[in-house]
Amino acid sequence: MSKRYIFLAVLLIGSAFGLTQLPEKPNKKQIPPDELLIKIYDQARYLTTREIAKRIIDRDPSIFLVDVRTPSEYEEYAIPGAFNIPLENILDDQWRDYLNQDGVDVIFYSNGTIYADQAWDLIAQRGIKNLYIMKGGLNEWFATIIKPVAPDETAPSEAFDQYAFEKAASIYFGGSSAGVDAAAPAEKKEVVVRKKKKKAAEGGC
Amino acid sequence: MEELKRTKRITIGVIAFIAVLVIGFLTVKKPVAVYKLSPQQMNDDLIMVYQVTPEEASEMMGDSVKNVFVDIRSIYDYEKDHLYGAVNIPIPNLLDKEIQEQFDQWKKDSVTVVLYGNDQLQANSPWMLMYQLGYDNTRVLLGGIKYYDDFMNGRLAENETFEMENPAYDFKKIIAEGSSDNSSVAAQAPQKEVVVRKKKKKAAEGGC
Amino acid sequence: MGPLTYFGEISTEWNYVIALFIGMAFGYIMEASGFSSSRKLIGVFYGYDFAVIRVFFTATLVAIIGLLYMGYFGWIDYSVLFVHPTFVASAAIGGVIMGLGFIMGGFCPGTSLCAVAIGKLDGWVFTIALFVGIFLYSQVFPWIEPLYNAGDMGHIKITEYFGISQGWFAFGFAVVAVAVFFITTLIRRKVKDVRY
Repeated sequence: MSKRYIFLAVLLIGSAFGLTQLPEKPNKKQIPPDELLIKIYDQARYLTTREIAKRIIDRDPSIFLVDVRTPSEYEEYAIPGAFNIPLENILDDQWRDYLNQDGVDVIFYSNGTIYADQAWDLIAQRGIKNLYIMKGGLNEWFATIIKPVAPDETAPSEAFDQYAFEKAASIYFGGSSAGVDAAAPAEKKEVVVRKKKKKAAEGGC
Repeated sequence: MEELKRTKRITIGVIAFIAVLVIGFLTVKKPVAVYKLSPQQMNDDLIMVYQVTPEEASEMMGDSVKNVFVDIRSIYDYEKDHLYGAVNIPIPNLLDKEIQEQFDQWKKDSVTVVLYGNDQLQANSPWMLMYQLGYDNTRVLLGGIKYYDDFMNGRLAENETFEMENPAYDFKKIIAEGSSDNSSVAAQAPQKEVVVRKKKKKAAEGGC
Repeated sequence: MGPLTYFGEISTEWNYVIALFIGMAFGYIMEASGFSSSRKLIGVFYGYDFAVIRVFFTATLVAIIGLLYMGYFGWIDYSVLFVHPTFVASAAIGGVIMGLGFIMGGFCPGTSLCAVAIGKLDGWVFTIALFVGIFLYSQVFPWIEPLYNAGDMGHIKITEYFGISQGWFAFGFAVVAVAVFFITTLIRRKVKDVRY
């Protein structure tokens, strides 16, 4: 038996044994903590209620509102066009494709911002872009869009412009008693979720 | 042993094989930190209460051995105003090596670490990150430093609460009132129809 | 696309270029190992030449070890590797037929093309018969379709089926391979030398 043969055999077995000693590989589907930290520090994930209201009124097809509250809360009131995924079920496989749509901004909201932020945190670990949070949640939504407060007379003119928009939006979303009878037609938005293509490679021999 | 006459080829192959392994081991990146909890476990733990109310915080303030307050805002905010005895660790530095060692030490000594920001929201994601990294002794200060200051100085407005998730309005009532005044229909609870197109998995055929 | 991730995404076009070079290397190694000779190939069944077993075991082993290490280094993402669906019953029956054909014809499909490339007459005959066989099979396919789909287990790997880690499987495979190398050397010594 040649020495070289023994060396080659030992090399093969040795390197194969090394494989068993490698630490468990981190899940590829999850971004590492340092990347998540950068996302956490980025404040651009918060959208204001006004931005969102504007996009709903404009019938922007590229938004997908996700209500992370309980179904009963969702039944009571939800933003038009919102889709209900309770926070405890947010990681279920059936919602995976809903929350990862190319070119569609997924916006989480709850009553405040905490639950939406937690939902965002859990989903953002998948490395998905286009995930946003409605800052202030429904409380802020009612404070600004449904029941806007008129600015002081000394306020700059921008505040009045903003108030005008809020008043109009309030009528659109059905909160105002401004007396204007400009009803917006009910929207039944159809969302087409495109399944991510699973790439199947061809094999050969 | 005829194959071994082609010694050169085998030697080159073996050297290349070992070289690849060596280069690989030299260049492999060590992760900065590793999640101890999966997202699902994290989500399950969210139901448990890992939050500190301002009342509890004022009590914990007395025992600085067992509790430590961490200000996750910027140095600038920290210098302006911070809780008594708080340590400043801005969010971007949370995964620094020394900071992680510090957190490990705190965990070993079973010190309760309370993260706080301007409000609960600011500390929420950093807390989730640290908790998921296995530091289950971390908590969040509800209401943040602003609420805490107002609470301690008795400057709280009426009805002011640190519970951000409580509805501040009766949503249904307001909408019902609004709809009776005018005929807006957009506000009715929408039942959104979502069409998911199922794609058949393509079975690739291979040949030999 | 593709499992190589070290340099980022590789476009489909470059995949074809890479495939071309891998194919060329494959053919070169086959020919260099003497796999265009049916007597060398058949030697494994009569015990006078185990080059086939050695070359394929070595190739598989190096590929396993290399893939797993590179996966660990983050150079490739072997979760996107395509795993053929497993049909146990049809694989067993097909394997028997393949073995019969191999020992009778002296080639397996890949090596017969190798023999064609260097102009061997038996290679040509084998390859033409191969295509005749494919044609016949396609004609009788409707009758044997149940057999074709028998024992479907889906896209499953042996490590998943038995629930063992990939590293330990590779290690076990390496031990078995080296044992086979050793045993075949012993057999080779016992069997009378054949000149070919």
